[in-house]
Amino acid sequence: MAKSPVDARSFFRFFGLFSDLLTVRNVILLGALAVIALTAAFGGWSAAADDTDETPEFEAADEIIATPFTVEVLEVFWAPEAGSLVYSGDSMFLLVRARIEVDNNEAVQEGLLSKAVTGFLPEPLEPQPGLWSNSLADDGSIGTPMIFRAIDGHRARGFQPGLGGEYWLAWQLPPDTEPAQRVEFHYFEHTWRKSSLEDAFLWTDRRLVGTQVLTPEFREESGL
Amino acid sequence: MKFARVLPAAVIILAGLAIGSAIDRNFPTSAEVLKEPFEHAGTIGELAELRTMDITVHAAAMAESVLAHGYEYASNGIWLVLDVEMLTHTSPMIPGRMIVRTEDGRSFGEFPDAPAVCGGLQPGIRQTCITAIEIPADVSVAELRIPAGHYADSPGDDTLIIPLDLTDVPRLPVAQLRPMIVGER
Repeated sequence: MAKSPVDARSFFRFFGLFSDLLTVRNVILLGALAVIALTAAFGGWSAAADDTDETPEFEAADEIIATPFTVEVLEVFWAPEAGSLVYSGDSMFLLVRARIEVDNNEAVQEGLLSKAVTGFLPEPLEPQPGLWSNSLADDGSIGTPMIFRAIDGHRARGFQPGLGGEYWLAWQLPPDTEPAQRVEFHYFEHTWRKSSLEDAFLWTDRRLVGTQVLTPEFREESGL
Repeated sequence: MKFARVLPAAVIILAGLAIGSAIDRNFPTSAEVLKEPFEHAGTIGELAELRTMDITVHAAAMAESVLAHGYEYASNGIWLVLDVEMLTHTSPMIPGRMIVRTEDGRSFGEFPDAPAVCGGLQPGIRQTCITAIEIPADVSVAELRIPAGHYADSPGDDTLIIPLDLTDVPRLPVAQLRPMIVGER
């Protein structure tokens, strides 16, 4: 025998027991509690804005502004050695030639660029002991690059303001690294901010400003 | 009568307090004073006697590339080459980096790619070096700032400032740099 539908009258009778609670004041209070609960659960408008993926995706030929740097990638490839730039040993190199300029009134130390650019292979890299570029990377990235001056091959120590030039960014990775045909580069900006602890200005607040997918080829010789 | 005697004293005391307070408010604190260098003007070829050391820039030149430690360093701009003599007075000193500041406020010289550094001074021993600062090739007027302290622009200590007219200095294809050595030029 089929179950009979709920009697509508008994339904209204049940809610009638609580009808005295249904006042304007209580409805407003309930609405306010709902807003507080939703904010606690989802983080409010600011968190909603954070969740939207608005990180720009740059094309291969784009000039990318990652304050204080402007970076334009000119060439990218894999090679088992980096010529005269650095002792290769048994390694796999990802090499990027880029035009780089700083938009700042004072010189910027080389290490800041190393923190401003990194890349991700299709399969995350596991850090391995040794002096590899990704040895200290805990995010599966290829870590921080070494920077060399393209004009003479010497290690770059700093970037002088308005003195743009070409540089090699070299990631020295373990020799068993698969030379992927797709690398997603991430660019980070920094802010020149005064530290209240050290009473000095520092480049800080690293923030992702864009990604760029590049397709490096593999070369038996770097030609460097 | 008693009030008439006390009143001038009270006025003098209050005036003294007001003057002292005004002086305290308007004079910079020692921390504010020590944030900036004490600037001393100089010229190329002239001895500058500063509080902690004597400095002479004997010559300036521009070079397309420089040699240091057996390697050649090219430039995306041009190298400003400086022949410098220093004598520290009372204590050993590793002076801060020399800076070239252009009219538009840019500073060059921190984190240099060429390795010759003028530093490692011993008191009473005259020492010389030839160093280089990489600058854009189109800079024609600038000032050279040489700290007589441990930090660039030597906050709280003397800084020698030499105006540079870069249209008027010799241009060389290549210049040999030299780290700090003992002895006069």
